[in-house]
Amino acid sequence: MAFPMQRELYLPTVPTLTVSSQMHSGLSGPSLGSHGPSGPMAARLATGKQAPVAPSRFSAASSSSAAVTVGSGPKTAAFSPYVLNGGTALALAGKDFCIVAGDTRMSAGYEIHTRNKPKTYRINDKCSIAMAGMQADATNLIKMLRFRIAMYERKMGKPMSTQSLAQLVSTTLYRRRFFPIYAFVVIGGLDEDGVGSVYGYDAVGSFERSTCCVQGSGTSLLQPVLDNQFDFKNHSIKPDELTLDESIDLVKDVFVSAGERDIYTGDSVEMHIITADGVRVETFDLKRD
Amino acid sequence: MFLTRSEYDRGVNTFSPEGRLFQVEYAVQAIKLGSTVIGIQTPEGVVLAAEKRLSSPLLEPWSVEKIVEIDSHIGCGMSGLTGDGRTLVERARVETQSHRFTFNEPMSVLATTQAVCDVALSFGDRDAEDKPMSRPFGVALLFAGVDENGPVLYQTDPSGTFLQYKAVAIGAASEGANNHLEEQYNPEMTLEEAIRCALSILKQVMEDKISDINVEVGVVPVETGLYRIMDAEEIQGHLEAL
Amino acid sequence: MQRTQQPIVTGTSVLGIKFDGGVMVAADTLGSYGSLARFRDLRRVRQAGEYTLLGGSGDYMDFEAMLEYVDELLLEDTTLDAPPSYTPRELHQYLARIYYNKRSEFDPLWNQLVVGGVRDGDVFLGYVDLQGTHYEDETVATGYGSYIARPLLREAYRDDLTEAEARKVLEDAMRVLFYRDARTINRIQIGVATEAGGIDISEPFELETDWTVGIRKH
Repeated sequence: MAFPMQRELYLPTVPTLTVSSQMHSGLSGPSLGSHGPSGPMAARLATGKQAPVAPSRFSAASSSSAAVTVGSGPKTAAFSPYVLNGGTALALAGKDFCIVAGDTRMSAGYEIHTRNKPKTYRINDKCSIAMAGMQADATNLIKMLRFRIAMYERKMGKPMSTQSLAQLVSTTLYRRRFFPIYAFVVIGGLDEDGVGSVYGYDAVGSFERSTCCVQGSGTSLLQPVLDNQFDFKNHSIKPDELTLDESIDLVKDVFVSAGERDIYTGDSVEMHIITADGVRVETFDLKRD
Repeated sequence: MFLTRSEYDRGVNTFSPEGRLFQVEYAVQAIKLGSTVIGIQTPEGVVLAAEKRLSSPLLEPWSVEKIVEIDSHIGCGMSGLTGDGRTLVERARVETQSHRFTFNEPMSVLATTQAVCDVALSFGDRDAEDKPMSRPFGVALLFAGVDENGPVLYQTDPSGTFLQYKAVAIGAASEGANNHLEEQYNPEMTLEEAIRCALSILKQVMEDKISDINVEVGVVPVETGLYRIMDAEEIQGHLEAL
Repeated sequence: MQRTQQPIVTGTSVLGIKFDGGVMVAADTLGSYGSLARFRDLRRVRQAGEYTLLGGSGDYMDFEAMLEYVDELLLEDTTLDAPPSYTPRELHQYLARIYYNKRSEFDPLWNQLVVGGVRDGDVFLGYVDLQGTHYEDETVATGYGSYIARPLLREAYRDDLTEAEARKVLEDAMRVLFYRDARTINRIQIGVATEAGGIDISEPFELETDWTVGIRKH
């Protein structure tokens, strides 16, 4: 964040600096999970120099004195091209359906930028993409993808299949291996046989197909719950697979729960329900606190 | 006619007042010097059959290659300047592999043909980096393959035009061969019948006596969806049955 | 080439709010040099084209550079003698692309922008920053305003807010910022965009303040 960093310029006292670097530095705020270019890595990528140690909440004194040399003129944290805007995106795949959902809160640090920025993007009748991470990178990525998809559709004369989109997203992310696109993608759709399919990615294009994948700030809260309640992992007796309606209810439940515990998830959820009939969009509200 | 032509046939990118690009038309003529290649599409698959001109008994027959693999589901027959054909075949191979790399699926035969035709007219300024050729490609290609639309056959020419055919011949004897094809083609042909049909037409139009070493046969059956080139023994079997 | 790796002369918060039929943007006129109140008359609420208000915080030179980019874009309309074609929504997207591309070249324009305006009944208010982050909302605030003033704006916002009410909301919020943000001065401008009235940016004026709260009674 631009402005508040500048505030650190001439402040000589360590404690003051600590507060503001904690408050305003997007990447050194509360950790949003362990994936992707986190603090030090992103900083190194950004500056091409040695990575500064991200100040943790309780190591204020040492880290800020390292960041500022008193009396040597203006000093501020180097520019970082990355910000984490938080939020949770997920996709679930059933036998003949798929659900792609994401909350609509967009944050930076302790600030809520807006309460209405959906993370879900409809691609065609068979699939949707959802993305968490950095909003600017995610928006740019979806623009690049839409371009590639449009070119593909004209060249091949058919809509892009979910599995082709999955490969395209991977190669697109990997092309930027050394300046990663800070977006955590999940694709949900129907495969060639009409079976629900989900693909989850890291920031540099590693991906796998699965039946349920959570991305973004709510990952550590929701993924284990869905593993248990949707995939029935670690159940010795497997219940019947969830129906579409049961799955929708489960998605609502887990988002409400994430909204309770994760400050970056909230406001409302946009959900794409994909069946043989096409994509249906539903929204529901979460707490706005 | 020939007088005006001589003024407009030097620059490869110069239209004549009648709106013709003579160098491209001459390139089309170059194909008529090439050996004959026949393609036939049937519901069971596509076949390509090519004449090999073995100009000397000392020539190793395998080194004359007129039918090549583009991807596992597409074969390509060429007639004309085979050297130019290699450039286009290379392009087609790169395009199909790149499509697999990016989209994790085989490229359709149509899109492959289109990609090759896209470079057909990229000749001209020798200095330009994106212009691989200083003159038109003097080669015609037959793309035969099986994709999600089933078995398909396309023909390209030096002008970058491509057309889909049920059956077609290119090369020196293309005129006669096409007449035969029009007579003999029927839409319910089996793949076996198509192979025999192609070989029997080649037998009639070739100057040399047809044998298992001076023809090439490539097939893409719907059953496997995989391109395959026949060995001499298999060709011999078909020739004996003619 | 010299790249902006830190802001030099900076402007603090810009606030924006929609009201029934228009948008309003406010900022003070201070250009700070670190903690020094260096320039007292920098205009940070500007007009771009016929329909758009641009408010900028962060580096003032980068803000001016951005205005040049926009002028370049709009100049085409002028030279072609065409009617102004860019809506506030389009300019917002254009600025988002510029700011994102600059950040991707590690050569950021160090600003947080407020973009507002009305065109063909579409009342638009949006935000763009140095990382290319962008969104639209009913209220927008940059810098310390995003912490101190934004909650006030959100609470005050209704879709039937009148222009006078919106002005009071912004003035009150700017007053709070003047009390609490040490990089402000009590000299502000308010820009208004409406369908009928076009763009109207006020001359700088002072807000009435009341410091009695800070006076010790005994």
